[in-house]
Formats: sequence, C-alpha cells, structure tokens
Amino acid sequence: MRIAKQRFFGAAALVALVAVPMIGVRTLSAQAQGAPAEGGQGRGGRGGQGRGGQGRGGGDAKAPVASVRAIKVKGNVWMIVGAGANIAMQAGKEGVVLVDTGAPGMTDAVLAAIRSVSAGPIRYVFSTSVTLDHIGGNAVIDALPGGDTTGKGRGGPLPNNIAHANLLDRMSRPGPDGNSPFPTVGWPSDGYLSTRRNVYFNDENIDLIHEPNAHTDGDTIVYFRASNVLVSGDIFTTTNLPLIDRKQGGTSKGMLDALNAMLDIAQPENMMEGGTYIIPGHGRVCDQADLVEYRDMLHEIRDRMKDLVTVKHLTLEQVKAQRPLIGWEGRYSRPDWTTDMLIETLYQEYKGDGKP
Amino acid sequence: MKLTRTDQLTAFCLAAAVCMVGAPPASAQDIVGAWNQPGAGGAVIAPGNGPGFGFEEDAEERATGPYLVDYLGLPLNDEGRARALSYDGALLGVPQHQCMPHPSTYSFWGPINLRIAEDLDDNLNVVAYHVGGTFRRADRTIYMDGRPHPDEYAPHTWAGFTTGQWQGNTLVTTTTHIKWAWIRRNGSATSDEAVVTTFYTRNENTLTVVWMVHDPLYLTETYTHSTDFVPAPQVSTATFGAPGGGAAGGTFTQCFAADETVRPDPYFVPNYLPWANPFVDERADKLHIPAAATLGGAETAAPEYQDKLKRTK
Repeated sequence: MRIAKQRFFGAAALVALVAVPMIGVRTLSAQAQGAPAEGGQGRGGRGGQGRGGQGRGGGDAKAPVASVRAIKVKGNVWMIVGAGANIAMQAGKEGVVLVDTGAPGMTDAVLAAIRSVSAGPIRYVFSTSVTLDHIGGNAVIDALPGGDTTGKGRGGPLPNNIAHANLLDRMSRPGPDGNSPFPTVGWPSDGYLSTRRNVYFNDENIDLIHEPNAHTDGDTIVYFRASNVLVSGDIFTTTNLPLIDRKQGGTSKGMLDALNAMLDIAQPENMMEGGTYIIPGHGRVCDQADLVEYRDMLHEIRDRMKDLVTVKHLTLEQVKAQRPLIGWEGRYSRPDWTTDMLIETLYQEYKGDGKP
Repeated sequence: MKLTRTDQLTAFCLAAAVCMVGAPPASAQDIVGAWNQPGAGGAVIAPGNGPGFGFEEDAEERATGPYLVDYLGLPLNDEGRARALSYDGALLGVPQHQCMPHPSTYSFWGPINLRIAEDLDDNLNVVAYHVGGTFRRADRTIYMDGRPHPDEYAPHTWAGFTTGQWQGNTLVTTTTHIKWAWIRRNGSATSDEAVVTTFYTRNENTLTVVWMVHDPLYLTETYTHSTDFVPAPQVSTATFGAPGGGAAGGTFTQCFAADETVRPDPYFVPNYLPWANPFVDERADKLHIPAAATLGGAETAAPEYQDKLKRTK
C-alpha cells in the first residue's frame, strides 16, 4: 500500500490527535502514581508513618540513604538509626528532646540527622541505660552551649540530662585508676530516685518510668503520651536475645516485669496492629504485637530454664545440651550476645538467687 | 484534507499500536471481584447475608482448626518444631493474642470470602490490587507500580508489604515485612523473616491461588500450598462482619480483647515445655502412624513417605 505524502501526514495527524494525549496522560499518571507511595502499606497507611521520612516514596529504589538518619515514627517523634543504639527524638516549637545519644564517635552524624528535622536547640537528654552505645554521645551533646546543633547559637543553658539515680551512680563510679571512665559532662545532671519522672515539653506529657533490675538496675523507659510512642531502651530489641546484664544489676524477672509494664502502656489500634509505636533499643519500629512476641519468648525461656535448673537440677553443661533457647537461637543469637551467654546468665540467676 | 478508508484504517492501526504502549500487558487477567472457596452454599455464617465460605477443601482449616501437634507435611526444622511444640491453645485466651488476624503466611488457607479490587490511574493502568476478606481483615495491598519494599526499620504487619507483576497469565506477588505469625493454626510458627510468594491465575471461572512460604529460620525448604476460588457475586465480604451476624460473623472483622477467664497471674503466658508437650501422640494415635510423622519435616510432605510409614508398621 502506498500512501501519498499528504495523506501520510493526515494519518499521522490523526494518530497524534488520538495517541499523543494518551501518552501524555500516561506520563503524568506515572508521576501521580508516586502519591500512593506516601500512603504506605496495608490499611490506613500506618506503615507509611514509619517510612515517610526515609525518602522512599515515589518508587525511587536507588535513592541514596544516609547510614545515620532520622525516620518519622509518629506524632512529634522520630527515630535516629545507624549511630549505635536507636535514638528517639521529639521535636517541636520549644526545641528537641533526645532519648539516648548513640555510640561514641557518631555524634556529628547524629547532630546532622537532628538538623534534618529541626534546627531547634536540644533541651533535654534522657538516658535509658548505662550501656555505652546508648550514652556514648552524652559528653558532646550535654556540652552543647544552649543545646545548639547549628553552630550559630549564642549559648545558654546546657541540655538537661535526666536518668535514674542508679545510672548516675554507675556512670560516676570510679574505675581502677580512681576516675570515672565517663567524662563528668556526660553524666546525668538530674538523677531521679522515685519510680517515675514527668516532663511537659512541646505540648506533650512525657513519662520517664524506672524499670528496676531489668536490662540493668538503672533503666528508664520513656513514653510520649500525645505522640503515643514508647521508647524501651535495651529492655526490648528486635535484634538480640534478652540483654540481661547481671553485672549492672539486670535480672530476667526485672526484664519480664518491664516488658509487661510496657504492654500495659501500649495499645493496638485495631486487630493487634498499629496504635502505640515502640522504638526498641535496636532494630525496627514495633507495635504491641511485636512486644508481645518478645515477652512471650522470655516467659517461655524462663519456664524452660526453671524446669531444667530448679526442678531437674541439671548442670550448666547439661542445660546447654538441652537447648532451652531453641526456637529463637537462629533469629537472635549474635556474636556479642550468644545463646550460651544468656543461658549462663540465667543459670547463675536461678542457681544463685533461688527462685526465678 | 479528505482521508480515504484505507488511510483511516492505517491511522487507526498506528494509533492502536501507539496506545498499546500504555495499555496493561495483554496477558493480564481480570481477577477483580468477589470470589469464594468452592463448596459454599451450605454454610451460612451470617443469616440473611447469603452463603458463607466453602468447605470443599481444607475443611479443618476453615472451621475449628487443625489438630495440635499435626505438622505432617510441613518442612519444619528443629527450631520451627520446638516453637510449634511450645504452643498451648490457651494462649488465645490471653487478651494480647485474642484479636490476631490471619497473617499472609496463612490467610488464604483459612475461611475467606475474597474480594479483589483495583486502583487505576487515569489511563486505566493498575496501580494496585486490594485483596480483602481474609479472617479479621489483614487486607493485602499489591502494589503494581514498581515501588521498592520498605527497609529494615519499617514496621511489620500481619498483611506485610506486597508488590506484584504479571508474568504471562499469572500475577506473581512478593510479600515481606510480615509479623511473627503462623503457617497453621496449631502453633506452627513463622518468623518475621518469612517471605511469601503468591501466584494468582485465572482460568475462566476458577481463580487458583498458590502461595509459597519461605522462612529461613523455621523451614528447611519452601512450603507450598494452593486453593481455588469461584466467582461469587452473591457473596459479600460483609458476611464476615455483619452486625449481629450469628455466632461467627462479628468476630471475623471486629474484635475486642477481654479477660475471658480468671487468671491469677494476668501476665501468665500459656506454653508447653517443648520436651513435654502432652499432645505429642494424640494425632498420631488417631491416624495410627508413628508420632515422628506428625512432627513434620520436609520428608513427610513427599508421597514416598507413605511407603516408609507402611514399612515401619
């Protein structure tokens, strides 16, 4: 078939008339498809709340992601990841609250992550436990004049570091050389002795609750009431077997009590999902169901150890041979906190303290 | 300018060819609508709301659930088996466990009136499918726009995060970010590292769904299962949540946790020591097979395993 040039252009014009607008629509609609990406997964975009700050919306799989970064969790609360332990941050018109400060040597990156959300001054630092990757940035952040993170501040009061008195006691305890291994500027400036401390900041009630003898004897969990976000410290992680530090006063009973106390605070939105979000000491953003799973694990491990140690009276080696942590070994055992280490810790507790 | 009929035909073909670039793949099947498991009609879950779900296959799973310690055919490893043996059914009486929906590792196996909807863009391309109707509505959204899965810090959900693409006549989806859950309703657990691959294939009036559970922590190999659905325009997913909809209707989509028994210790977690589960022989005795068979493992899924059982009798 031969088409005259004039007729070809006529046909082409008809093609353009019909097809090009459709191509255009497709292109525009492809851009529009980025919009649902912000909605996140599942119902109601709940998952999206945890991902909105990560720059993944719009389907750009290759977007560069900083290793230390702030992730929006809910309300006024963000989670800073990649700097050791998870750091919780509440930001608002009055400034910034930090729960923990990360590992030593990471503070510049942490401050950059904070500035990506707020240029406001850091007014409070709450320390959840004496563990180094939680308080490693205290010495720098607690010494920021006016809590300023931008380098443009005019000075002012230092951030107020609040922690339980037992944590202050352990940080200030002299080492072999007679000096504390922690610089004094990084010690809590306010060590509370009661079971809880309350702070009102950025239009939000913040509860600091002491959980005795859990991960250590100086643990604090922090609940941001209006944001409905609970910060657990190392009492709960998604990466490790229960971190019971007996040398620092931790016990399995205290851990279980603390996990149950957190379950009493956390509420699901619907069908055991969403609602209160929990920032664990390490790992991903969680909700009550994840906390339940972890509590159940420790409960079952305790029951198994109790049977082997206090009922069957097995030796430590016999207990290990019985694999009382089977079911969670592959998921949680890490070189720095192994199955054997937890078994040994629990064995000592149940042998030495008698009643688990 | 006047175009001849030949010119108009040429233009139409050219336009059609160009438009095809923006059209869905020719192989994409229409899976949108209401579906039900075959055999529905006898079971009326919610009076006045039409028939409920089908019992033609997997009846155990769509009613009271399977026997305890019946892991036959599940490729459990030692860790997965230990988790399963620790399970005490009384756990479902603990308020924090009462409202758990069926997770994506299991949901197509349970009672279900499937309803699939789609989100379209301005050019009628499918941006996402929504799969609803599973027990307690852990609805699954299947993103078809090529977006990546969330990273390691994103929350996990019962439904997980799903992306999909058409491969020939089959919609193939991948689900990640699932919570700790189960693979059968007798304590056979799946971990939060489980990934589910699901295949949706429509052949005329049958929608076949095949799903594969990959769990590096609890399974030695992929666990595969399938189920069929038939069109059921008369069945509404509202069956599952009809107000006052019979004994089961409301509980399928609505759940309010409460203390149902007197619990001296409100924090008690019912569980068995994995080495002392009292039901370890129950199912095996009923089937007159060795207890080792009901403890599962990849070998127990193979047809040859029946010959092995016969030889051991």
